[in-house]
Amino acid sequence: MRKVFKFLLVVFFVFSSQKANALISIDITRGNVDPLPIALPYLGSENKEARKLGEKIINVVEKDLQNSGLFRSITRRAFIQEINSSNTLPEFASWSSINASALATGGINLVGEEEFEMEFRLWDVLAQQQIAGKSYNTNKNNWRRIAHLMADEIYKRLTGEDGYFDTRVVYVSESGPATKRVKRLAIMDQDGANHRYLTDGSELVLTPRFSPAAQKVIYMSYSDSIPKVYMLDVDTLKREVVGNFTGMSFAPRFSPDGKSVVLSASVGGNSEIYKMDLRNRRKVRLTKNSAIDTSPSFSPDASKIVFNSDRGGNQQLYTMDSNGRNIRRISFGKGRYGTPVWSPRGDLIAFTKMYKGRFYIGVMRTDGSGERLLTESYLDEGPTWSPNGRVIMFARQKKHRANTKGEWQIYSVDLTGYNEKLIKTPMDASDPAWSPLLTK
Amino acid sequence: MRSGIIFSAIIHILLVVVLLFGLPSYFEKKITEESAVIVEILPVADITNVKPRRKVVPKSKPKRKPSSSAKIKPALPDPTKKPKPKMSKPEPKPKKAPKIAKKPKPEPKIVQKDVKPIVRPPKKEEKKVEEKKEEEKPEDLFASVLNTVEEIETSQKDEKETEEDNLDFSDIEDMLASSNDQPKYMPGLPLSISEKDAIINQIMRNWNTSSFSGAKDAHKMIVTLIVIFNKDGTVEKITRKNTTRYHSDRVYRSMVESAERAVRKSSPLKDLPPEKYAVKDGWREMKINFDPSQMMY
Repeated sequence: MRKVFKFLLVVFFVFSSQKANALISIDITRGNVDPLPIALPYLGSENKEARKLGEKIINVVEKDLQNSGLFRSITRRAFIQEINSSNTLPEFASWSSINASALATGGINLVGEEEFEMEFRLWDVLAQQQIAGKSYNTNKNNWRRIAHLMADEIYKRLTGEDGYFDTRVVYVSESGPATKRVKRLAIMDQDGANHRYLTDGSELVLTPRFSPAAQKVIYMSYSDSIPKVYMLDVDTLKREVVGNFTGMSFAPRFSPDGKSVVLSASVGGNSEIYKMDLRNRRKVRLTKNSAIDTSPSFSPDASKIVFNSDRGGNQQLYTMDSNGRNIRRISFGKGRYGTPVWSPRGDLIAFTKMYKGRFYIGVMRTDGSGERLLTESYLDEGPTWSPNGRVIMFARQKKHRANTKGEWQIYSVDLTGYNEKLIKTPMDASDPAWSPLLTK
Repeated sequence: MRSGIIFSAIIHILLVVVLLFGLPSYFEKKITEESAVIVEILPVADITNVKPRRKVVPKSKPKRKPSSSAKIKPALPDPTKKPKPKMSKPEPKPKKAPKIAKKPKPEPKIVQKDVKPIVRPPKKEEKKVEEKKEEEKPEDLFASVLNTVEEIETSQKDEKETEEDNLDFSDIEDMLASSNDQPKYMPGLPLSISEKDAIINQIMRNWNTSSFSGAKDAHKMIVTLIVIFNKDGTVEKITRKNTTRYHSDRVYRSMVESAERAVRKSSPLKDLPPEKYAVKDGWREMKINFDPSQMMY
């Protein structure tokens, strides 16, 4: 009797557990691609000057987030609740009724004569809880960096990836007629602010590259037709010569630790790829082929190098191990592929493609699959990645028309192909190079 | 005597065996080939002739009657207003680190600190009492006026109407759902395709994918949430599956959060039949899978 009872009990539980698994299943396979609506009220403060500073900061944060294409800032006139400090709990219903998915509240105070402190909290309006919060303390003049740090923190918490707003871009600023072009190195914040020149224009400068590990830039300079490679510290402006390399057409690229570079140099008409340790300046040759091998770029884990070569008949992309072994072709499309740059995120390679007289900036996966062209124009070239591998900057030249010379300008585009934007510079600009995050 | 009993017993047993297993057949039996066919069992309701925005979901009926369009918009519920208990003392400001500003040439130091969330007592959410029902009530009068003519016409075709008197709730649903028919009330039916589609459309509209659209493996990530709804369509509870990945993978977390936002934004769910709420395969508790692979490259 007992056994029968136990058996029945087991059977009962088996059946009842089956019933519990019978949940209806709903599959959502599409969503919308609208930018995430976020509310950014101004920082609260009792001091008028602090409040004005807070407004400037939030305006920069707003611009950063909107320019990324992933966020949309809700107009302040729509706000229902007035929040004046980060310690106030938001009335989430009033924020969700204006369609905000996220909300950032905060306060700011002056500290002494020279400094200020601020803090903010990021709220998930629909889940009704705080999801991030940071406080900052620094010199008053440094307020822009705080704004970028706050924008990075918001970006990071909502997308899961590191931000890229607290970065700078070095580029070649061009001016003057085509016959007497003056090229200077210039640096600016990624949003165009704090623009200044790094060289005086007496020498021709080309292809600056930012170190991924320090605020240093390596670039090529021509003086008396002899190309020299220089390393420049952008903060101290100290400059050192890396070497005289004859037969180089562009500057070397850094390894991920910033301690060595990879470069291409042609000897006797044969362009090969070399790796060079920056400390002892010793060079190691990586390619041995009569074809033109050039434009190398390291992967972020330093295990591989991507470069272009015409050993297959026309200019295509190849990868190899960082010791030169295991060379593999990855591009097979029609046209010519050049200037490959490995994404700092490691999953994509950006390149310039030339086909039927048009230029394209594209990306492909590191095995060559999934090739996508993001831009197209008369002349697009020289992609550089943001440090989080989400945004690409490149140079574009407009077609010459009658009397106008073709302008050179820098544009940025998201890796999804959306959000192509012009980056405003005082004069013509080309050869952009993106810095790593300033705080690491 | 004994042999009689035995004989009777044998016959009885034989009878039982025949009843259980049937008579043996001497005709040729065709050997049917068995091949596995994958089927998805979907209960199909009536033809829903609904416009995307304002879906009025009809109950599943035993007889099919093509219903012409009768669009009666259910009123949108008010924005949720949840009264909260007064907040206790706000958290004291974070400590200041004394820092002397330096000249701009060497970059001024920035001191960053995390700000902890405000501690607050647990909220008590008020249950909304049948708001949906209230909203529909004013519609009745209108609907009834519209429907009276058609009701008279189709009353001949009607099936049993007596049941309607007992179920005032279903009355309202019926009037909203159809113009021609007096539907027969069938309790306990599982959620049909059209109703599932209604849910999918509402959540789909609110699923914002921009926060993870450029992620490295966006096309490989799938998020599953178990969601429990209240009878008025509002979200009662959301449970995440695969919580280990949620805590270790930040990008996956942002996708999970976008899915949760989509569900919360779609709350309260509209146009769902209340009588299919608590049944097996009803809409009280459901598993929602978010799979962006078709959208991502």
